[in-house]
Amino acid sequence: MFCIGIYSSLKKTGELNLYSSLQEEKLNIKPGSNGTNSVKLGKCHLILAQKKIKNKQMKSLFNYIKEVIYAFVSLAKGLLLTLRYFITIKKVNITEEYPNNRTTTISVKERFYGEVVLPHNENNEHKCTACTLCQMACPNNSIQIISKQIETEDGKKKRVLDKWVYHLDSCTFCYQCIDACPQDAIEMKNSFELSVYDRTKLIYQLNRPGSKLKEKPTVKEQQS
Amino acid sequence: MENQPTPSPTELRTEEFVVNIGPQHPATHGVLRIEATLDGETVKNILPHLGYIHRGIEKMTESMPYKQSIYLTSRMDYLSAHINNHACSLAIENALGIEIPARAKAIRIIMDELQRLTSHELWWGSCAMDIGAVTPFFLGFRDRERILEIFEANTGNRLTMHYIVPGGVMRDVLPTFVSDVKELLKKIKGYRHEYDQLITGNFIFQHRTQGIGYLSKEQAISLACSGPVARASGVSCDVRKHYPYDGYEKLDFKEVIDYGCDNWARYLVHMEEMTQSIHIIEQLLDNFPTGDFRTKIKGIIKLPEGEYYQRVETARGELGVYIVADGSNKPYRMKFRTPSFSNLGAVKPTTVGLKIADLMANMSTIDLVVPDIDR
Amino acid sequence: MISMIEFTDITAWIHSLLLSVLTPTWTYIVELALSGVTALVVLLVCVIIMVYMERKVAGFMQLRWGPNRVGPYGIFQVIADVIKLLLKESFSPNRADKVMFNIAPALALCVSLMALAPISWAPGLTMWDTNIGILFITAISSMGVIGILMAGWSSNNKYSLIGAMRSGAQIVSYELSAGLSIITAVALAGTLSTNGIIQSQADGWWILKGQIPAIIAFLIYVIASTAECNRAPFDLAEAESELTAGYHTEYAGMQFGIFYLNEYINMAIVSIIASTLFLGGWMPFHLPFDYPVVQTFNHIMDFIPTWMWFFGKMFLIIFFMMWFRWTFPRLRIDQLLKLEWKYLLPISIVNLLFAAVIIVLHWHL
Ligand code: SF4
Ligand code: SF4
Repeated sequence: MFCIGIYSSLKKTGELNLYSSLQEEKLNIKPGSNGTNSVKLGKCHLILAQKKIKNKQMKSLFNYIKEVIYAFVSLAKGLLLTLRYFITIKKVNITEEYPNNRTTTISVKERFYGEVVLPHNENNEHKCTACTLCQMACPNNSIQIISKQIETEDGKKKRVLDKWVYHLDSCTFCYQCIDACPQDAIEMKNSFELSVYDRTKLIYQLNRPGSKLKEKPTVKEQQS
Repeated sequence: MENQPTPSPTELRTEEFVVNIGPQHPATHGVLRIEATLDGETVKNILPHLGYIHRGIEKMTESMPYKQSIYLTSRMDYLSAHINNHACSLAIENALGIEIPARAKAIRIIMDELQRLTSHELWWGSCAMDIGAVTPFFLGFRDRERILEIFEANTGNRLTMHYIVPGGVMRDVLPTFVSDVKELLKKIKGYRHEYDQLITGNFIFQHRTQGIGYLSKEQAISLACSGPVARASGVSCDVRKHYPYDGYEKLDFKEVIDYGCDNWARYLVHMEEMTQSIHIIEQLLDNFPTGDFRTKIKGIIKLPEGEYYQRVETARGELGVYIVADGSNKPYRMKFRTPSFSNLGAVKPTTVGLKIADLMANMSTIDLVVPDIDR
Repeated sequence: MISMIEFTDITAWIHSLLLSVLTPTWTYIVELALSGVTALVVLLVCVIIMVYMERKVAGFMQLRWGPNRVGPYGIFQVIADVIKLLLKESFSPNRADKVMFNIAPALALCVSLMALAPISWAPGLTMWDTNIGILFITAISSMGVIGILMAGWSSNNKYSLIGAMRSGAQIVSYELSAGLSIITAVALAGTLSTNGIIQSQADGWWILKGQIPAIIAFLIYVIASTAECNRAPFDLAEAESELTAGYHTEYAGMQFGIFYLNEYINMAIVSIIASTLFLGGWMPFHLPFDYPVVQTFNHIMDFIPTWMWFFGKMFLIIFFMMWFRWTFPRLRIDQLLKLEWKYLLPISIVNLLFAAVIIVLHWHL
């Protein structure tokens, strides 16, 4: 790349009259004042600018011819690249051909954030305790946790999840709800074909009907 | 302009006229309106109008807890989403005095540099497109896509990531991360000569950029330009060198400075920065730290009362995050010093007196991202 | 040996058929109409192929497949596009000059179709076999700018106006070097008639026989004609990233479609002329030597029908123009004019002198 830079600066003849004064200004800038940590791309500009002024009159015809030849060579290089692509399109092609490859080659990464889901196990149980931490963590109120009070067998009152309402239409897939959930009850699914015609259809209730909280294994069970 | 001599009747008289370039225009890459006064083809004056994509991100952060507002910054400069998140997270960590694990630091820097690569690759394509070559755009996207795949696999999102959070990163990277990135870098390096073949060496491109869009060092400093724009004018302003964060001080990389001051210099700086980014990532991959990826912070962050400022180097320049905290869980004021906003000022001094086509070339090498200007 | 039906046989047959039922005057009129319609149909088919080809070439060079939805390999894409354009409303801006605005596309199309007349399609198949064919074409091709200027002026849009003015400056200046390189070929052939030029290449194309001047003239002609067609890298009149769409910003529907068609017709005509002048038009590839091997080779070449040569060369040059378009960045207006006045024009003048010397000394083969 630098070689190209040098070469091309060489062929810059003094035709930029508008900038001739600016060129002189450039000459006054001393490179190297910025310590050893900088790449001095400017150096080649500088040396070549000086050279150019010296040789301007002497070699104008020579430069003219050289410029024409350089132009053809550089353009031919670009043409060769595109020709290579044109010929080897089968190999270099990058099209995904999406609707055709949805069942075959499509690659959606495992972690892709498509939508929030509340996984249920085979007994139709989920892990959400309706603590509303996710609701609080969500920056744009995409989550509504509606809970209800029920009475357990031993007469205690308990708050359980009634509806886990998820507004996919306003979710920004920021992962904060999942990060905030102490129970690891929710997950991100990598689904991606979510478009619908009516945005009210994007309001989901994530807990399945009749589902209930998965009982935490008691300490005794855990040990055994 | 005021004291132009009145033309004599025999002289050919020309009249200036105003063209509104934007808000919908292929070259503004977003909703920026530029009121250009033209005399024929020559640009006489430039007046950028902002605010078409103002979303009030700064105001929104005041009503959101610290942790939650970070995801908004991905929407400012959407091509440096990781780096924006990084800036906010760093500001909060510094205020809280948290030390983050070495692995998190390494992941952050790798992500930052990959993000810089994506941004510069896209910039390369769109710069060539503004100058009239369409094919490079696809090459830029091809290489960017490979990096975005890594982002998708590790962070779950492709554009507006919310991955770098106070305390570290959101999730640990995949076990295959190191080998994936190594493979990716090999691929990207193999593609670099195509960039030179198609655009860098191209005679027309060189003529369109060399000597065009002159921005002197003094102008760059007084306009508060940063990033590749200022560095191409000879200003040493790389935040990674001057105010290193998260372990940049331990890495071996060079600050790319050019004294050319023109579009060509800006182009070279961008291209060389990509090489440097690859170099940085390679160093980190060679001894990728193990351990924790995140320090646990309690659910609600409350910054102690005071003012905090943190700057980072995004793909476009210096991003500053200024937080005024009043001790509650929400910032009293959060201000972003975005690079595109101050770089926008460079459009006028570089363009006035040149042709319309140069306006597009200048705007593309100055690398404006419109949502970053408006916030 | 070659018992293929020549085009001349067909035309003679049609002529005698018409004469047997009509008076000579009516025969003449009907033949005129027939030839015009035939040329137009052939050209439109070419344009359809070219539009499809452009998209495929662009796609392949940009690492993608190009159109592949409508029909197998997307071959019906152009038809779908035309239907879309036809169904769209053609409206004119509020304060536009309505008459000029509506005439402009038609005028541009007429001008470029006029250049079809003296083209020699196959041996003996020329609509207007005149001895000043090439002169006529050069005269007509510089008129193409009028339609563009009218469109740009009447649109009442600043982008259109800038685009039109650019186009004017561009076409007027590139006309010069295109003309000079045409003159080089004409000087070599010694005639202005298209048929005559092709006949003069019976023992080898001018690009081979004419030494270096012919090659240089060919290159200059391709460059200059690319500029005359407003094709990238000289597409300043449209300059998508600067002027959104240049002179046809305000056009919609089929009026835009006509400008689009016009661009491709221009391209076709320009490449037909280039192949006529330098690559021998419909003339098969012959080598200008007298060895028996070469003679056999020349005979083998004769087996390939002339229409194949004609369209093969035409599409080859068109491919080159497309290849340029999808590789190069655009020039700036002052660079564009500098390229013409500082490089192409001096080179073509020197080249013409050089060619004249070669012709006078009979150095060409
Ligand atoms: S991913 Fe973010 S926006 Fe979506 S529901 Fe969770 S917290 Fe809310
Ligand atoms: S999903 Fe998790 S955070 Fe949300 S309410 Fe249920 S348990 Fe609490």
